[in-house]
Amino acid sequence: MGLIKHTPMRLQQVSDQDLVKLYIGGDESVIEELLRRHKSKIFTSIYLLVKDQYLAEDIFQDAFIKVINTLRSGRYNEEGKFLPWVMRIAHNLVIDYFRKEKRTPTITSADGTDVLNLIQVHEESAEERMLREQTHVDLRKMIHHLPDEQKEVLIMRHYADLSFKEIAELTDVSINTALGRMRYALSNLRKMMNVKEISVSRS
Amino acid sequence: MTKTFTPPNQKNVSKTETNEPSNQPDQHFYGSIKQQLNKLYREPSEETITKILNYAKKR
Repeated sequence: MGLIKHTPMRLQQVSDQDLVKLYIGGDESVIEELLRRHKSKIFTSIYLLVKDQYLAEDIFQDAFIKVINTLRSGRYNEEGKFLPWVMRIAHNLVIDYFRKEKRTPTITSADGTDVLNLIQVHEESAEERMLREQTHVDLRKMIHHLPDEQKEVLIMRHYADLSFKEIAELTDVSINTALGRMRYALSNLRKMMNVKEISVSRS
Repeated sequence: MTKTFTPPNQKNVSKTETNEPSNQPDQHFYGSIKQQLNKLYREPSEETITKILNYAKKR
């Protein structure tokens, strides 16, 4: 049984902003509702960026601890929306991680034209070969092989459900740049699917 | 003197307010892979959720 499935109905009707105010006012239980609403979006975004379940768990936890500490300290800017704010914290933690580890998340390419050459990363095990038969595994790999900027926008738009304006603010680029990166990401995904002959209707 | 004509529906349209990619083929492609993308959603473990909730309750 899930830990955060039985939220009282009244809380489900309260906005994020009001839940935050309730927490600041001393109602600790509302964090449960905020987690219920946003955990999938935030966790999936982190996971797709770091490509590791355990690391994603750590970063997700650290992000929410920062959220809680900020709310407690009264430093939360009420003008901002809750989800983009948490995504910004999580995004910064992901960047910190890669800086600390001196690792590059994946392959960077200015315009994405060389992405098709980067699909083969390592020799596959028998198990990996079986998994590769599944479209969703292929798709995840393809997302991982997008240039970082494109992957970032695709993840934030689709999984974190942020607007292009919010993505632009978070990544410190113009809205048009964010839109362009999304177009490149989709274009590259389509090319990779064509190479792998994956039908978009395959389930 | 030749005057250029701008159709009324193209006036005062700010591209920066667009919330979706405007490229039609990519837009169509995005619509067609949304279901597949949704299958990649993951959840954090209950252990992680419990740790966060416990931390939130400590004042």
